[in-house]
Parts: sequence; structure tokens; C-alpha cells
Amino acid sequence: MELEHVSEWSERVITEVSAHIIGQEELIEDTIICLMAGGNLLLEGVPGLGKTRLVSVLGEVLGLAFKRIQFTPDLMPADITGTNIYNRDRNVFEFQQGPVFSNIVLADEINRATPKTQAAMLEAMQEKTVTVAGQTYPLPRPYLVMATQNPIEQEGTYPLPEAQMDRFMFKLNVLFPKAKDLAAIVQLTTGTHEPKVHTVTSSEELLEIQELVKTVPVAQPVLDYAMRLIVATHPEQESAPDIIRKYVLAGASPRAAQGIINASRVRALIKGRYNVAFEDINAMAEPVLRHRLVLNFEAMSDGVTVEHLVSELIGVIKE
Amino acid sequence: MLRKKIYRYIRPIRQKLYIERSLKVLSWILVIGFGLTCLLAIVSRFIMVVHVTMWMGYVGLVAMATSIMVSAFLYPSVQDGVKLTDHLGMQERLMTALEFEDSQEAAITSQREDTLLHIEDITKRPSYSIKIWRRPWLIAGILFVGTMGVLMVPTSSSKQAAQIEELQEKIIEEMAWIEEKLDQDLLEEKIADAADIEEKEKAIEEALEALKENIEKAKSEEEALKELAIAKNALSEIEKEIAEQLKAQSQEAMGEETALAMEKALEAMGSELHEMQAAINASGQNLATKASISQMAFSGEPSNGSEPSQSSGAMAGSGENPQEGEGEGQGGAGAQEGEGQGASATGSTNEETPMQETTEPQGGHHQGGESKEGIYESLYPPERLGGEADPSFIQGDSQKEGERTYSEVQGVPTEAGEFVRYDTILSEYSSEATRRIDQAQVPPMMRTVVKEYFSSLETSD
Repeated sequence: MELEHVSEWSERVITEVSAHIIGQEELIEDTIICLMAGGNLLLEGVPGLGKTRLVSVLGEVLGLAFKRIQFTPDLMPADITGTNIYNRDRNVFEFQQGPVFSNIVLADEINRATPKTQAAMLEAMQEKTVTVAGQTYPLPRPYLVMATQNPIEQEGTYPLPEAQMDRFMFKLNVLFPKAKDLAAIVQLTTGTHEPKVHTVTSSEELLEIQELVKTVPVAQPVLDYAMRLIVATHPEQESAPDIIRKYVLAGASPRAAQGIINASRVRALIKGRYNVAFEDINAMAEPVLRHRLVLNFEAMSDGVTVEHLVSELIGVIKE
Repeated sequence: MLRKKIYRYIRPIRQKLYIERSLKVLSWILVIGFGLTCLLAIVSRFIMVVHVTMWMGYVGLVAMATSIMVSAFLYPSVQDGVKLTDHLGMQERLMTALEFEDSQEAAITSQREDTLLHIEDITKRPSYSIKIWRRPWLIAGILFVGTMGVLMVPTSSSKQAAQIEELQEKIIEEMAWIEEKLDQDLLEEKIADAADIEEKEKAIEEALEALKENIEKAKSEEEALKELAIAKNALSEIEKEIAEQLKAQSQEAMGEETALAMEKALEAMGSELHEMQAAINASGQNLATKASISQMAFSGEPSNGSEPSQSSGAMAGSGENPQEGEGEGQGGAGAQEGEGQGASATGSTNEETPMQETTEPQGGHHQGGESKEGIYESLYPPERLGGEADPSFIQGDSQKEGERTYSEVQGVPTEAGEFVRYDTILSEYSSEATRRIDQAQVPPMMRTVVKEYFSSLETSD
């Protein structure tokens, strides 16, 4: 595959997914971008917005294996990664793969599991491997973890630690659909006829695209701008604007810099360009930084959101 | 190739950006300039500032010059042009293409081709409209209006300044008028002077011509001598007039150059006149030669050059002339006497040239030549009157020109080679001399000399 076909490929996938997920075009596009960039995705939204459906449809469209894990407080790490089971017939311990062994893993309500179980996802998300009893098992490629969390029900939840949050390339907010879109969803899902999901690509094509994306050139001024943007999220940095100093406790990590550049490359290709533009950086800043900026109490008390801070940051940092 | 295309593509953007920057700088410099002029206007209302508007003009000029100089450094760089063009819709295609122009990777090649496609696509050509910052222009306008308003407020200081300005303007106008007038007058004077000098030269030439004619027509040497004296007087008068005129002009002249020119003209005129006088003297010498012939006739023997030449004729006159002082003179046997009063303290002799001697007797037809020079010029050289001594002078008073009287002495030879007897004219000469010295204001010592001279002649007879 060549770069010229990436845009067409992404268009094809987005169109197919959009046919089943109504009113979430931006979410779908960002999900595809994250997938093409080889990142993991954290979805945040109230229940019933189609998060699980999005992941399942995406898996089918891409022709990838899909598994869903419902995180609960009593979920153990071995329940996710898998464990060694004694085979009495053969008198050996055999590794029984957990649900992480799939191309697309949906970690539903990930914040309900204990930190220990959440941590079990770290290796899978970052190294794309799982280590059980000293044995490391590679995860299938392509690999995408899509986690969801409920922003309302905080009772009995374990907020994800920063280290784990940083493993997610994007954090996307699943917004409630508009009335028109809601009507379309109801019609689509409550009728007698439910449209069939078509597979429009293969895992091989996706892997090829993930490699091609890395070749997209980024001009030095654009790269500098992205880096300045990331650095400015740190309140202790000189370039940090006042609003960051006031409301941010911890800034974005270098993974954020990697993520924003990779995501921008994909976005450029999707938009039909072969170079990263400033607008790509700006567009990808919010999903990349949203879960990486740790706000202080003052921000929470003032009702300041990360989205607001990122928007301010983009306005302050000159291209 | 690609770089050239990109440069050409961004040129209009860069030009517009340059204009925009220049306007921005100009607007802020205008703000500063008008701020200063406003301040100056306010100060001029309390403190007398002469020519405040002129100073404001200077501030404006400095502001304009500064903005022009600053503008020279405001032309945007290629990077600026590329960045702006990318921002206007090229979406960083240009800067990426320029940065990776040497790379041959597939992705880079695709990017380059994509950039070229966008450059050649007229429909995607970015347009940039020059942005005008209204605020500085507004501030500059307010300051300008404020300055004009402040200038209209009359105060005692501003009135004083206005009066001084008015006075200065008048003085300048007057000076300009004077300068113009002087230039004009000088030009006219030069023309007039030139005409005047030409006139004078013409007069001199005419006088010389007349002299020449008169000398030729003269029936006797006395007549010729008379004519010569008249011509000399006329020339002296002309010379004096010219000298005085030039002197007066040089004194009146404004610049040194004019004075110098006048002096030079004076010198030139003087030298010309001296030449003319020399010519007249030459004529006089010729005439003197004739006179020597008469002397020989008078004495009955050839003239010896070692002796003072004598004229058998006598020319006597009296008058008052500004140029003539009072004096007496006697040269040789011929006598030229004169009486006069003048402003200058020179004697009646204009030159005191010692008579040159010649050792070549020419018989009865002795040609005096140069040896006779001074006979009619230096009538009373002191050395002839008893040895070396300073001539005494009496300061004359400036009077009107006196009248000249001439009388002919009868019995003298009128033509060269004609001889008369000595004793036939001695008594007449003696009585005439006695009568003349009694009448004229001749110094007593000189009277005695004349009387002794004639008495010695009678005795020897």
C-alpha cells in the first residue's frame, strides 16, 4: 500500500463504522486515528452511548478479533492475562490465554477493577506482551486496547493511576447524541432488520498502514511547535502560561509528545496531506493531553476542565 | 526547481507582508512624531518657542526618514513568507517541501508532488489582504488634531514668538531684497563702469589724436609744446577722474572680490595711462629736439650735450588746478613757469627726471632725443639749483580750475635752422623775464637767479 491509498482506506473504514454508530463521527475518526497510529484508547462516557458497540463494530469492519472484559472489583489479573493450568492428561502446566489475547480488547469500566488488576493491563498495552510465570507471550498484531470508564459513578471505583493513564494514546469523550441522531439510533437498533457489518479491510493492511504512517514527514517548525506545546503543560516550565501554572499539577509525559506526532501524521494522511501541519497538532492536542494533565484542587473547584486548558494553551503557544 | 517555484509562489505574499510591516512601523513612528509635536505645541504655549511649526516640521521629517530607514530592514524573509503562505492554506506543505527537498524517500516524494500540485492549482492560490492596525493610526490622528488645536490657543508666549517670527521674516525679506538689489546694482554698475571706462579711453584716444594733429599743425615748437602741455593736463585730469571713480567704487563694493577687481582695474588703467604718458613724453622729446635746434640758433653755436639744453622759446602760464601745487621751475635756457594752487602737494612738474646727457654733438641740428627728456617735465630739479636738496613744497588749496594764459615771444626762430642775433633778443628776453618774475609768485631766491642770469649775459656782451 502506498500513502496515496491511506486516505481512501480510512475513508472506507470510517464510512462503514459510521453506518452502525450514529452521531459519533468525530469519535469514530479519532478512534481510527488511534488505531492507525498503534495507540490505545480510553473512552469516557455515561453508559448506553454505544462504546461497546463501537469497539465490536470496529473489530468486525477491520476483520480483527475482538474481546470484551468487564472490569469488576473482584477481577484478578490472571482473569485478564491468562494463567497456567495443569493438564492432567499430559501432566503439564499449560498457559491458558486470557481475554487480552485478541486484536481489539475492550476493557469495560476499567476503573472498577483494583489497581493490581488494572496494572495487569500495563504490559499488554505498552509492550504488547504478557508475562505469566516468567514466560512472556506476544500479543497478536495489530493490538488495540479500548477501555471505558464511567465518569459519574465514582463510588467503589479505583481511578486509574497516572502511569496507566499515560499508556493510553487518546482519551475520548463519548458525547450524548443529538435528538436526530438518537432517533436514527433507535430506528436502527429497535427494528426488525439490523444492518450487517461488513469487513472492509484486513489486519495485514492495518499493519502496513501503521508502518506507512511513520514515514510521513514533519517539518522542524511543526515538530518544535508540538514539543513546545507539550513542555508548556508543565507548570514548572518557563514557557508554561499562567493558566497552566495555576491549575495544573502535573504535565504531559514524553509519551504524549510521541502520541501527538504519530496521531498528527495519521490525521494528515486522512485529510489527504503528506505532511503534518500545525492544525494537525492542534487537533490532536486535546485527545492526547486530556487524560495526561493532572489538575489541582483549584481547577476542580473553579470548574476548569482539561479541554479548556488545552484550548488556552493552543492560543498562547505561537506556531 | 521546487525551491524557485516556491519562492515565486510566495513573492506576492512577501510583498504584501512588507507593505503591512512598513505601514505598521510608519503608524507607530507617526504616533511618536505626533506625540513629540503635540508636546512641543504644549510647551510653546507656556515657553516662548520661536518657529515652533518649523521645529514640528523637522520632527515630522525625522519621523519620515526613520520610518523609511526602518522599512528597509522589514522585508520579510523566505521563512516568513513560507510560514504565512502555509498558514493561508498551504498547511505547511511549503516548509516541509523545502526542508526535505533533498530527500528521495517515497513519502517525501509524494509530499513534494502534492506541494507542486497545490502550487500550480490556481483555485487554491492563497490570498492575503494587508492588515491595517487601526489603533496607531487613530492615536496618530488624535495627536495631530490635538497638536493643531493646541497651536490655535493664543498665549502671551505664542504671541511673542509670532512677533519675533514676523520680525525675522521681515528682516530676511529685507536682506533678500538688499542682496538682490546689490547684485542688480553691481551688475548695472559694472556695465556702466565698463561704458564709462570705454568713454574715458575714447576721450584719451581723442585727446591723443588731437594732440597729434595739433603737433603736426603747429607752426612753431612753442605751439607744439603748448599743445603738449594741454594734452598732458587733459590726460592727467582723465587719469585722476578714473582713479577717483575706481577708488570710490572699490570702497563701495560689498565683497573683497569686487574690491580686488576694482584695484586691478585701477592698476590696469594706471598702467595704460602711464603708457600713454610715455607716448606723450616721447612726443615731447621729439619736440625738444626741435627746440634744441632753436637753441643753437639762439646761441650761435652747436649744442653740446653736456650742457643743459635750452629752449629759445618760453612758455609761461599761470592757473589754479587741483592737481597742481605751487612751484617754480627752470630747465635749461628755456623756461616754463607756472603758478597754481592745488590740493595735492606736488609741484608743477609731474616728473622729476634728470636730464640725460649726450656726448655726440649734432651741429646746428642737434637731435635732443632722450637726452632732452625732462626738460619740460622737471622744471626745477633741486640739483640744478645748487646741488642735492629736497624740493620744498607748499600745500596748495583746492580751488577752481584757473585760467591759463600764454604769450608769444617775438623774434624767436619759428623754424628749425633759422638764426637770429643774440643781442637782438637779449633785452627783450631780459625785460620779459624781469616782468614775469615780478608778477608771478616766484621764490625770491629764484628771482635773484634769473636776474643774475640775464645780467651775466649782458655783462658778457
